[in-house]
Amino acid sequence: MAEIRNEVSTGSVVSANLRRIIDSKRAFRRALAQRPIDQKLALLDELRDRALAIREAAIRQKARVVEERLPD
Amino acid sequence: MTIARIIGILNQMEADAVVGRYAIGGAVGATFYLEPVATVDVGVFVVIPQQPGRALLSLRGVFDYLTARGGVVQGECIVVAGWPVQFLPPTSALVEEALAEAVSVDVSGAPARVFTAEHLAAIALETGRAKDYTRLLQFIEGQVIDESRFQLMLQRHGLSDRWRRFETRFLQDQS
Repeated sequence: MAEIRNEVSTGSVVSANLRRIIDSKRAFRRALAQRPIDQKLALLDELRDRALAIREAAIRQKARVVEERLPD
Repeated sequence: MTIARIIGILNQMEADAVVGRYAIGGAVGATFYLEPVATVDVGVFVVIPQQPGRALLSLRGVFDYLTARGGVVQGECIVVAGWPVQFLPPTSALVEEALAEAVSVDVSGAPARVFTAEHLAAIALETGRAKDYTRLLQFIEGQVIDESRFQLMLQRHGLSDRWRRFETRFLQDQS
């Protein structure tokens, strides 16, 4: 019974923490949405640069894997 | 900031009558109302001036104008100020209305015409891809839509049933 009680109370703590995380993320997104448009558009530039860099890195990684697999 | 440069170019294109009227839609348009989300291109909806003797509208004039000013054609887009820009004539009555009712927002001292939040959300519902539904959910969660205006818009454009299905699938039992 003590184990079950512990599990339930731990579960409540996890749920409360998860709720706090979700609320915090929501508040952060809201704050971002309320930034001046010039700042938001500048962020878009940065996000795009980052997305392209990740895409290029993934392509290079794939090419390396293919090279490693090719028979001699 | 390169998107600000694109806005300057769009305003000049309108002044030079290369396009009749433009408005920014898609993910960049949504940025005017929501948090920025990564996107790889700029969607610009445009009224194309009717060319004499031609039944079909053509973006040739737009591409010629921009390539003469350093733009580089990349598939369906043209790269301007480092960004692929996709020029889109309106393909539905909803998008035509969005273009006609687009609002002007000051960006670094220049006016930028962008779809209203309600039109962006309705177009997302109309287009109906997974990423469009994600964007629609962001609009709803961000509470940036005028609910009554949105519902009237959906009724006007025959999207009420689609909205009800969306509501059932994504918004019910949210507790």
